[in-house]
Amino acid sequence: MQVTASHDDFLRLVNEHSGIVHKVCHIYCSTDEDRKDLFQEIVIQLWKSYPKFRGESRFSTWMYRIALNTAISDFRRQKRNPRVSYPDSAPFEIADQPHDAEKEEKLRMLYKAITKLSEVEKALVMLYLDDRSYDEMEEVLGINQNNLRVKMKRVKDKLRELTKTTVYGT
Amino acid sequence: MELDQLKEVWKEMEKKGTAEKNSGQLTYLPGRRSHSPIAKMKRNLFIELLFVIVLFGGAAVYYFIAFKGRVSEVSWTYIVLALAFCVYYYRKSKLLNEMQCVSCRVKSNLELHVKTLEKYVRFYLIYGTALIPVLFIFFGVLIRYKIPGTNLPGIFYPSAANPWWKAILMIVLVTAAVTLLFYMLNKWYVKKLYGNHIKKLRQVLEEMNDGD
Repeated sequence: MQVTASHDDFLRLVNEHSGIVHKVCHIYCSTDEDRKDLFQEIVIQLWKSYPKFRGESRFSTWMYRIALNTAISDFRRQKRNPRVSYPDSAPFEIADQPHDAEKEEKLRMLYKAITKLSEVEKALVMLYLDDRSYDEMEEVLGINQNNLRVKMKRVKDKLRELTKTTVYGT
Repeated sequence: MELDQLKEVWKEMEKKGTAEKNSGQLTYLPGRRSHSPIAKMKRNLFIELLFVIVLFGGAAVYYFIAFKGRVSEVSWTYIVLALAFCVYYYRKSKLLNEMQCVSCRVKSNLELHVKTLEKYVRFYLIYGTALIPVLFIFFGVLIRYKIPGTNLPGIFYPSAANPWWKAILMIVLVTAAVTLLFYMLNKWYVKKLYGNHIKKLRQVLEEMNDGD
């Protein structure tokens, strides 16, 4: 009975925060097959680690750690898909938004530019887009806040440069 | 184009699409087998261990039964070798279990991963190579003294035409050459298996430490 209760709790919590897993899969994988594999692996790792979750940090922080650790250290996936692979279209979540064509194109380019970032930069962008505080970013990544701010600024500049080059061809 | 402009769209990902995707998927996923590299390494290690136990255990039993205990020292040597392999696998399995802490901060998990993986590779290389001369000499002695009718070249055994020091020198030279060959092969294999991964993890770690 206890096992079932724990299983149900787990499914409820993961369902509530499943957006985190989907985002990690989207940002670290370029094909549907890889996304599916990574999603599966993250859920398995979450389930294996769940008995040790003591609530010392927020569930979302804990989930971010597991999702990012799984995505970054999975060398089999990285080997199969070198970092320099760009999606031909924006992910469905972006494409489905009611934006005008120009804005949608820019968003797609920005998303494409994110795929050119390093593993650490991708993690930073993701946490930033999710409106996570620098405290929480430090909790997830283990990088001190001053360094995080410097890195974040660099990433923003890099993205601005990348989108400028791709969109406007400069 | 600013990053902040993507924030709203990004937030929508939380709500959109995920609910219906999850409903069926999540229920059956927790019980499934992990396909992570470490899980695969653990499974391979277990298969290797089973193979060694069956092979060496079978050989030990065969020598006990077929020769009615007359060459029991061969059986015991097989058992000792199997035990040495068990120690080897136990240590490797322990390192694999310590290799990851997925719920830790990303940086500390990476540090742990790199450190333990390097230890694992070093152990694999040293212990794996050290077993080669032991096995080589064991099988040499076995073929020469315990299997009737087999002829190994006379240069390996002392005789009237071949002084003892020459025989020992030949054994040492050939054993060293075979060990060196296996060491090189092991090194190439280990680099092929883990070299790029360690390099990549180190790069990520360096990037994280940059500015700290």
